Amino acid sequence: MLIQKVEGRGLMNTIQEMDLLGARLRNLLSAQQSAGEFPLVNVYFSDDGALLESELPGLEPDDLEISVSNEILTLKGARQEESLSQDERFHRRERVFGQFSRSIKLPFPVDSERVTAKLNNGVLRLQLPRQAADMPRRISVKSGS
Amino acid sequence: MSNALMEREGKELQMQESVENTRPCPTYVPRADIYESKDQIVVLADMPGAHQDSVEITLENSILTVTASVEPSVTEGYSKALTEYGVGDFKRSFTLSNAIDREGIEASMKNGVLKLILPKSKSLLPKKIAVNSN
Repeated sequence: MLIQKVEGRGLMNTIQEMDLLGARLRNLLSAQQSAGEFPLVNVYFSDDGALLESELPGLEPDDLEISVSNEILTLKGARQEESLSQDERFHRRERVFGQFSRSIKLPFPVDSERVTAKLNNGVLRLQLPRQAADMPRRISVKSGS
Repeated sequence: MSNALMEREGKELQMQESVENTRPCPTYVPRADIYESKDQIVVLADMPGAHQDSVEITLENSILTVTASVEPSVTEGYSKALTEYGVGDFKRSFTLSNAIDREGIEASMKNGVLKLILPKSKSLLPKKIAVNSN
């Protein structure tokens, strides 16, 4: 009885450990992925446009330059690092800084007049409406009689 | 590395990880910069999407824990096209030494960046002792 209990727990531990290893591996892989592009973006599509979100912690609206030309969206900017005085020194530096520029091609031309951008708590939210001329038109079929 | 502030690592962190989350979103460890000056230690942590009111800082048994909950964005009517980052809560713990003046800890949040100011306790600041010639 006692042995069974111990064995059961041992198996659970093994499963938990495997879960942990899996979680660590995912963390490692996601860290690798994020090392390349900055900023990272999430893009969503709807019938009449796109929504783009990006994590830009520490940025003021003035630090960011957004331009749209037809289907190309460009995010440009710079992330300023805190400048340390002489008697201050870093122990740990994990955050990334510097200039960035990233262009994203959307599958439709964007109506640049109606683009809205909001920067809230370090997250950019861009609404990119599709050009009206590019909208799929529905042609109603009449029965010819 | 100063002994005043150490990150919690090893066994305790593993135990934390094996605790199941009650919220349906993942928890991320925020990237942090730590710097030290003569009289204080400053922690800057990137927590994009976290509102000031959702940030919780607790100090228990010399372990300083920062948590922030992030509300997933409203994307109704949209379908996912490209997902490069995940949205979830943030959590990170640090171990404080006695050299920190616990009463004087300050925290502020700006544009998704948390700034923690940990003043060093006065009694441990280096004292200059003048030498008198007799």
